[in-house]
Amino acid sequence: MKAAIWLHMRMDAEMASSGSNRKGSELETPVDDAARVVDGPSVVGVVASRRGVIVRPVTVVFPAAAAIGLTGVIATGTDVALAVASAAFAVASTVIAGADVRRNVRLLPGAGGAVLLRGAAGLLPGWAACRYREEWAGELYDLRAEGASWWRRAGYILGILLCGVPKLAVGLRLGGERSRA
Amino acid sequence: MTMGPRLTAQTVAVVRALLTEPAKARWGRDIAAETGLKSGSLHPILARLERAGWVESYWEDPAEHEDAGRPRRRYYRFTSDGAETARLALAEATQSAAHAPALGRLSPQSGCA
Repeated sequence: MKAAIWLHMRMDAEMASSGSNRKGSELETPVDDAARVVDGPSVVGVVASRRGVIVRPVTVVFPAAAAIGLTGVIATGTDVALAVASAAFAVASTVIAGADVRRNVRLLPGAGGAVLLRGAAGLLPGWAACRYREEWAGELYDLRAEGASWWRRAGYILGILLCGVPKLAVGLRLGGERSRA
Repeated sequence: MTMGPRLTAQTVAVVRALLTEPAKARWGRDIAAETGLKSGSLHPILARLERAGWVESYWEDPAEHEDAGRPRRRYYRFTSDGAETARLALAEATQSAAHAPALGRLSPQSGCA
């Protein structure tokens, strides 16, 4: 998978209120006429793909909530702008990640699949790795030449990776045959 | 006691498939298609049979695959003694399986003193 999204959640909340509600010796109804500053959870989005690394610190949740009116804080123009920018970033990173994943998934049983099999064969002893690497690549080639579906080829690769390679890696190294006692 | 690979049900299926034509060489996907096994299960079995000396493998003749423009295949067939050894092992395994139900009668029955 060529695209990955790292999300870093940072919770910051600070509220500023106006000063004391004491006027002289009497308490008055508190008046909070100062703008409340609330910095809600922030998300740092990092999207790495073949198109490069995109890093954007984006405050997502609170500005969006404020813009929608879900909080008691009146949304400012900055909140609305941040909400729109963060939503656009989320959509763009999803599209980039999805496109890369879809592209790689399409390639998986082909060139990517052969790469996977070659890498998996590296787990085998040296003399066996070369042989099985070529053997499995040949079988995958024949599958493709026969017109096998994408799923069938993917199933072949998964079977080799999950079943064949571990058993061979252990069996070839242990050596000897088990007696039929 | 006979030394040889452990004869699991899947191994028996592979041996039987090869015994239909012991002298004929087959490649992995042929054997997989005949036995119904996936390649991930088949290759470890073939490796065990090779290590036991029952089966030998070799690469396809370059003249056969280069013209076709495809990668070479790995072929498997019984060795000169492998087919006979495999038949004997299968016969022993079949006899053992036939005697196995008798062991069930040795289990204690409820109500026995």
